[in-house]
Amino acid sequence: MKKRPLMINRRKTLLAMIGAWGAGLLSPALARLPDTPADTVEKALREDLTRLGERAYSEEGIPVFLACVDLVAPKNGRAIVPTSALSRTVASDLRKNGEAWLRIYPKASDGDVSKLIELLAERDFGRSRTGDKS
Amino acid sequence: MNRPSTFGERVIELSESFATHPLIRAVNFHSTSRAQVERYDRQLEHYSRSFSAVNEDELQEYLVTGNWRKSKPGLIVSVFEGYRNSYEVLTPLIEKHGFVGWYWVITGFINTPIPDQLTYAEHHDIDMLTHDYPDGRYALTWDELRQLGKKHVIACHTRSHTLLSGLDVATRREEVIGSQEEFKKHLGHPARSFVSLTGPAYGEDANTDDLIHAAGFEFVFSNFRIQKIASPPKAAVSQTASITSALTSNGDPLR
Repeated sequence: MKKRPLMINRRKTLLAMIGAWGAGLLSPALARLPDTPADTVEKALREDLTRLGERAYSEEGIPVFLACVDLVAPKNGRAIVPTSALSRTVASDLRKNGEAWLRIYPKASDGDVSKLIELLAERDFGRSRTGDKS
Repeated sequence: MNRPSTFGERVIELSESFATHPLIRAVNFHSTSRAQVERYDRQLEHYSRSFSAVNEDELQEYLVTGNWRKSKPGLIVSVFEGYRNSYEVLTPLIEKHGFVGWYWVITGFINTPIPDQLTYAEHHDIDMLTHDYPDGRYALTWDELRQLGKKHVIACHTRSHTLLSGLDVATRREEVIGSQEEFKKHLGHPARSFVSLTGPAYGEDANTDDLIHAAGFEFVFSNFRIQKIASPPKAAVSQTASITSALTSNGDPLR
């Protein structure tokens, strides 16, 4: 797989996020300015990892994101499915936080990505958003 | 599908996938002890302010077109394994707050005799932090699943909650096709959605993919994706349409 540099089109992302706010698609946690400094991303990641480490997986509702992939459509020749600002924002956040994760855990494994997705989903609509600290 | 082997490769592959496909939120529940009922109530109440229910037909349309018809974004409420407490504790809250539950059922757990269910759970990676039922019944019954199926999604989580990639062909067949046969027998129709232990995606193992196709599943859920792998048979569509029509004509009891 060819690797691409981790960059985003900030103007497009910002416009998309403003649009998404209007459509009610984004929660306040994700609808933030995209140019967060790397050390800020890393600090927030460390704090959230500490907090989420206390979760009892078998007894809590764990938020996640899932990409919806139509493997039938290409055979039928249908057009590409349009995406929302949520897709682009979560993808961007995943890259930024993935870079920070590797700075914190240089030996992170493929399996750790699940934790990162859970962390991003938690920020978007999880327990911290409900104000439930129990 | 070439499975990424490092954290960095997976992040890049996944961020590209997220950016180019419709995304949906989901929340995964497992054992839902009565001791936590107030917490689940608060959590689902909070979700109901911002999100709306998703059934399989709505997922299908969103997945194929990217269109979402409701004013609030969808949230899939997944309830794993087939615990009795998911029926007795979580389901009333799911319905109270207007969601559709997606019950991912391990058919072998359901079929295990009551005296053996706790032991079965311990040997099949079914977490049981609390032992809430002195009578020993920890799994749902088929009667309860039939009741749930009137308003919610009953989906397949294999027969015995085991890693499919390490199984011989015959055993793997039982896990995928055998469990589907049990849904047909007890529910009167096949399950449309499938997920296996640890959530491998469709495309990661050709032998398992063949079985998933042969069993007639339409959606494969995994850790990061929902993949539509087949179109629904016409009989299933008309059956779902009649259920939807009956529910709608009855004042939307999903609310």
